[in-house]
Amino acid sequence: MTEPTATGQTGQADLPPLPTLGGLPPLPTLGPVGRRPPPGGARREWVTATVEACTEETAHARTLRLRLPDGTPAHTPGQHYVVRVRRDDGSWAQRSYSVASAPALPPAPPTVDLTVERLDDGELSPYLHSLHVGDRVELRGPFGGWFVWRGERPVLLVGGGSGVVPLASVLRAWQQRGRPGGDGAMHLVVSVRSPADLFYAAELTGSPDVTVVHTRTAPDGAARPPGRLTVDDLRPYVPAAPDALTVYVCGSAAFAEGATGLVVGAGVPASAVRVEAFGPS
Amino acid sequence: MSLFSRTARERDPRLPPGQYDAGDTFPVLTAEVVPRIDPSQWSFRIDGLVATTRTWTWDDVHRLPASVYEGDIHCVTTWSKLGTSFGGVSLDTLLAEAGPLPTATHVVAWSSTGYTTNLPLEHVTGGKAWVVWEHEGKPLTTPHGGPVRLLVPHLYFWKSVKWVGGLRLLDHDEPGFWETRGYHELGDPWTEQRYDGD
Ligand SMILES: Cc1cc2nc3c(=O)[nH]c(=O)nc-3n(C[C@H](O)[C@H](O)[C@H](O)COP(=O)(O)OP(=O)(O)OC[C@H]3O[C@@H](n4cnc5c(N)ncnc54)[C@H](O)[C@@H]3O)c2cc1C
Repeated sequence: MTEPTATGQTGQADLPPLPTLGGLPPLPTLGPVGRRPPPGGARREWVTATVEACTEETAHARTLRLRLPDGTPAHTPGQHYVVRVRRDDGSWAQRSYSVASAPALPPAPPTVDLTVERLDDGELSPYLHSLHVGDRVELRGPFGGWFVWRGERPVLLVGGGSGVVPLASVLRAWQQRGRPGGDGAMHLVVSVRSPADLFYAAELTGSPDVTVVHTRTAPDGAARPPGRLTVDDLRPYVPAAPDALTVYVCGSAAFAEGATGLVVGAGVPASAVRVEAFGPS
Repeated sequence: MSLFSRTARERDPRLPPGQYDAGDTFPVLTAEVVPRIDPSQWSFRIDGLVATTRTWTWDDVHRLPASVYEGDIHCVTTWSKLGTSFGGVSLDTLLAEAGPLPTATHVVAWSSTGYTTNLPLEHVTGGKAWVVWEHEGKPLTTPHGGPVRLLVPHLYFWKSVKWVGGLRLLDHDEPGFWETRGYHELGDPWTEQRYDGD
């Protein structure tokens, strides 16, 4: 099977490391060497998508399935789109939303699922919650070349609240490919306040690939009492030799800072941890 | 369908296109594990195409003439923070001590985390860039790049390297961490140079 790729952002082309000048020490680097942009760049244009389905995930979050124009290349799991809406004064409001779905592989028509948490005093998220099937929305993407999964394994995914969205795309893509590496090659630990706050609950609850951690209210009969994520919640998914592991942490800035501390505390090298923070700080 | 703008008044002219006013908030966006850097261990090095490679410690930079930036900052994720301030030292002061060679055209700014970003030399000279350790009169916090970050406020904020460790002067452009991952080479907020090819 070919790798689902986003045009122009894939390919760990083996580029030479930064030049050393006259015997200067090489500069530190982070992650695999990125892609050198093509001359003139590879601009992604705004496209109009149609809302194909709306699914309520929780009392505050809904998933919009958007139908993209034919021929739109599939995203790489972890990437996001930028959505824009014109204000009545003519200016644009734009915000980023991670893709939740696995890449839509041809011959399936190009679609992406975006899961939007509604902030009542926010500008764009309440608007996206007011859309109906058949409505149109303008977006651009996919973007992101760091918080992406290109087949790395083993992988530990750690998400807090709406931070589960890009991680769901990674997990679903791995499952879509037939769970390469088998049990334990990928695991998602997702932290939510209560069972009612879990996105994709029917899919994630009870999955062998997923651990749900409840911080305030645990479901009846849960073995783990409610409480903040701890290093013990993560340790079972950190291999004895953690060097090969890649960890993806996503959530609010506060969650991301706490969770990355736990991951490093479990023995994972900081260079193996990719972080994406969004939402309240 | 269109959005009703939040306020009836005119859009703030300090806001570049596509940006919104984040008000009193200062969002944190980070790609990597936040490093804990003790100021006594921190240093800043300018090397590459310079007359003299120079390294400054925390105490060294505090002995230099202080410089404050008062103005706005713009994040590529579309928030802007208006009327804020940062304190530190002008990069001009540091560059003058190192002496850029005439062949130098670009810089790579780097952090000990391995994060890098590229900038044309003319975008970090002439009062356009700082090395800062204060935000609104208080020590710069670790999530925001403390103890010391780069500040290049006229470009999107990913150019303002957090936990900055140094600058390398080059005779060519060398795309950095985000610039090799789909983001724009320069990142001018006024012409919305957000992504590659914009
Ligand atoms: C890479 C990336 C991926 C993301 N993925 C997702 C995702 O998958 N799902 C998701 O739900 N979100 C995601 N986000 C966050 C998303 O982009 C928006 O920030 C979020 O939806 C809030 O937007 P909003 O317009 O509703 O709120 P905003 O209008 O941006 O407001 C956010 C908060 O700031 C305050 N605020 C903002 N402006 C003002 C003002 N002028 N005066 C007073 N208060 C103000 C409000 O109180 C509000 O609570 C992502 C962000 C990034 C950067």
